[in-house]
Amino acid sequence: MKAKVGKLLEEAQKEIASAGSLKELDEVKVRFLGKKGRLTALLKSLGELSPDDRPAAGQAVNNARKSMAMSLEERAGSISAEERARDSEEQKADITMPGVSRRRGYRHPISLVMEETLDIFQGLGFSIRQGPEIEKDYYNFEALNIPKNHPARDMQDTFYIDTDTVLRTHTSPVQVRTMESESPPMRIVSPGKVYRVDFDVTHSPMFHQVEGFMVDEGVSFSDLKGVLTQFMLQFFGESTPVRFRPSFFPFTEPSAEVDIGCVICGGAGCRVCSGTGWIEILGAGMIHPEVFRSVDYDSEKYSGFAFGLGIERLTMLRYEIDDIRLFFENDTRFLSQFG
Amino acid sequence: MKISLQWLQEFVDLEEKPQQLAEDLTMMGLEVEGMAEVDGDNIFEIGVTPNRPDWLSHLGVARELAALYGRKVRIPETGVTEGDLPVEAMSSVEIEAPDACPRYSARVISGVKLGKSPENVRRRLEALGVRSINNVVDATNYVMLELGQPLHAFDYSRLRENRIVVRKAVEGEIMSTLDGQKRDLDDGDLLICDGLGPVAIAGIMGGENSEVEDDTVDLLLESACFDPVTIRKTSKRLGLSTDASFRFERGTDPSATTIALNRLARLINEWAGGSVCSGILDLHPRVEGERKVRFRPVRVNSLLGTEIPVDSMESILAGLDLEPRKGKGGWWTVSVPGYRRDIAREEDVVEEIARIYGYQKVPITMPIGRTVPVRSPEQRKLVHRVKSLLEADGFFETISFSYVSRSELDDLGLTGGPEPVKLINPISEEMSVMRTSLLPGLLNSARFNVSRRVEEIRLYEVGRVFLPCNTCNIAEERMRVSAVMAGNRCPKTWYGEGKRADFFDVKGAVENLLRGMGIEDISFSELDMPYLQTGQGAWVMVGDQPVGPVGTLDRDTRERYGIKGWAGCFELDIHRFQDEALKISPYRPIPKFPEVLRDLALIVPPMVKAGEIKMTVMDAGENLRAVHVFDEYRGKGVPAGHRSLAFSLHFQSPERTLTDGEVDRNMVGILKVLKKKFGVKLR
Repeated sequence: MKAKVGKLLEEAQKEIASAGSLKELDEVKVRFLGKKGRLTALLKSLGELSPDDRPAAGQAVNNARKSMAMSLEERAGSISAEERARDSEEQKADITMPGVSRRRGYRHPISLVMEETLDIFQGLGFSIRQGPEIEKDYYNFEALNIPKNHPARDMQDTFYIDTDTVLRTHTSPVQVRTMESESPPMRIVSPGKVYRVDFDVTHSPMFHQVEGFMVDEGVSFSDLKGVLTQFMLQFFGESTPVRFRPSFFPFTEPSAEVDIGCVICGGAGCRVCSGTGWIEILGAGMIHPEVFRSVDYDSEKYSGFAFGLGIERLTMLRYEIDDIRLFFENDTRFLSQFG
Repeated sequence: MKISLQWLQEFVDLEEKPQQLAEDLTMMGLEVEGMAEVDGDNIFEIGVTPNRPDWLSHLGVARELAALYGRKVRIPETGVTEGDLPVEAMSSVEIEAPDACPRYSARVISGVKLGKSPENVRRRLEALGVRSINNVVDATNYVMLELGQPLHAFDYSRLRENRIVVRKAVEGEIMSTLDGQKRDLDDGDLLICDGLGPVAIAGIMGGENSEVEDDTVDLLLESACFDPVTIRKTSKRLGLSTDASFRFERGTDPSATTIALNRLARLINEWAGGSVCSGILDLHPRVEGERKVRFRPVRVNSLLGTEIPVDSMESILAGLDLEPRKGKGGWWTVSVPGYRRDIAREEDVVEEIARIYGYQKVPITMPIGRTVPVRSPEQRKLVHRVKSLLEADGFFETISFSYVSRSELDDLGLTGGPEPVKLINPISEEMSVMRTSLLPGLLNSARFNVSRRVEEIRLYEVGRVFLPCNTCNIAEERMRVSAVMAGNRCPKTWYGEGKRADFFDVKGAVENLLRGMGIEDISFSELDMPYLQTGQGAWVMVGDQPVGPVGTLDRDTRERYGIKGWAGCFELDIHRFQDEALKISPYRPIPKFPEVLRDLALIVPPMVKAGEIKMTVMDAGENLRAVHVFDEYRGKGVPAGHRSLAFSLHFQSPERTLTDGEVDRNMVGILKVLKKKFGVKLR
């Protein structure tokens, strides 16, 4: 019996070793260890032996089974490894060929900068309001202390629809509209398109502005400086120099122009900053009492500041774009450079 | 405005380097936009804000620097050597329109000799961009640049009846101005007339008929103050802006007419000789009272957020010649000189103090204030999502002008209803009416890209259109999202062939967009649009609401915009789906029981639509979760005009596992209904 087992084991080892695939190996397993397998048959024939011989023979069969199982497992391992190696060799890719994906689209740079601007102001507690682009002369000018026939109207060349209706020249009308319908405290930014009769490398007849204003008791010019400095540092970087200098807008008093150190030359003086080292970014000021009067706010009780910034200008500075017309040609080779 | 440093130095001592002066002027509100060296002098180009007409002169700028540096201003010499002949014997002035002319001052000089101005005067004027003409005209310009008062010299002998009348024009009156133009006047215009008719448009330009010429010997010199609004209206109406009108419409100092007049007479006398008649014709029908403005130092500090001591404020204001005086109850008063047209209220005084104190020295604080909830319009979130979805789908965002060409709207067949809103003063015909559709802008952008050999076109814009209506104010502004696509569905790569896009690509883009907004009830109904190809246009429906057209652009439109091959577009009104979009709904439990899948291949007669079959199947099926079209075939094995459509039916019950038997019975029922309703056959 023992010899029989030994011979069977030897035969099995040989077949295991020569099995070329997992399938063949499985067939070997079935032939020896399956229900009708040869080793299984030997095990069944143990009953024919004398009771004295049985334990030893049983032991031998069991050992042979273990040994076969171990060989099968080992062989399976090495067959898998061989197959993996063969597959890898066959499927080797030229990984420098281009990847395959759907081409994505791009956001317009004006939108990117507009969204970033609004996000910064929302973080500073400002809410968003919108107003019409076709606007009454009253909201665009009169209520903002710019009467008809005032030279300040020259600052904004206006598109007219009729004598009383204009394309808004700034987003400031939203200031008046909001103050008419809500009461302080308020912190508002108002984004949108504005229009002026002006068309060259640095002026577009349509552009985007964000108007912002805050009204409450005790709002001061130093608060205006704080909020706008925060914006500049967040938008242009923490080491950006910021300066405030006197200016004039009919709807603010005192009025200020806000400059940053030239982002192109770092303040040394270049073509972009006309050699001054500074770049004008936005206009601002304390809301004029005449504006408060037009919305029935008590300027003794409330004070506030307002500012207006041009999104095209911010975008041009950020990406060093020198021709504003590029924004409205919508050349996809231009648009795909942002975002 | 150009300012000469040497000239400034005649009025105030300045040892500062030009660079420093430029910086200081800018930081006090007088922006120096450029600097140049001319003949050893420094010329500053300054940007003067409309509120400060006094800065339109060298004396005005010198005053500011004197205030900043705490120095004294030297006023130029105005002494005149007068002859014996009294001016009243030579001429007279009459003001018929005192509202428009608060003051008119005049002198007469006889026996002048016209010629060149002194060399240094000519050089100075030229350096400031003023052409030298003769010693008399140059003197008027010189004094204007010096003191800010516009002046005019008439040829005395050409003034009929030798007198001046200031009056409003009569409708239909005509006169020729110095520039040789005939000007039609109306009753809003103010005229300077002689005894018979107009000799100048007041404050804007003199007339040809009274012009000083080489043979002029006697002069009448005008130094007047005119109402700014009157001057501006006429200047705007005539499209005629001059150095004089620019200053008058910003406001001149009525108290300074005689000072400038004397300075002018003195210089002409010096440069051109002659004899100055004694006395001045000075009519002053509207005398401006002393202007006082009250302010509170406490208010100054609270508005600025500063702690400027009261005595600092006092010395700042004194330096600006505002003569601060302490009053009662915390109030102070300043007296405003005639040349400061801008100071009228407390806030103006606050600005003066802040300017000289220095904006840079004001602290930087963050507002404390009460908490205000931060709110944004819902639409902003929505638009953001729309953009992200379209970009993920390969579309580029574009921005086009809000005004378009009327004829382009006509060509697209977008006019015919109420007239689009028109601009009175457009930049060009191509930009003259407010857009009623985003498509013209997108199509022009498409053309631009096609002409630059960009082959894949996927462009979108989110923006307002302006729909004219009678019930609203001029136009209703509505937010739309529109897109244009052309070129291939996917580009040709090493991996596969490029495939031409078609109607189903643009339809798919719409479905993707709306589903991405959380909208599920989407359908399409047939639509004829002038710019869409017949049979390839549809209304996009959300529920039973049409939100806009989608389809294939017709051949004419494609050709007009230079697009070869297929192109499609859609234009959706965001207002029409914004309530449906981004609605937050509770989640649906994931089905626990398995799905049973059946395919249904049908021979479908002409005119029967896949959508109708699908709806009927959905209605007839039990526990039918979804139906999808997965194949369309025409050709061999299918009768002509017919097509084979294959649907996959997804059966699933939320409560139990469905048996094959009941699904099979259900399929038989569905087929029976389809055969009866549409005459389809099983393939």
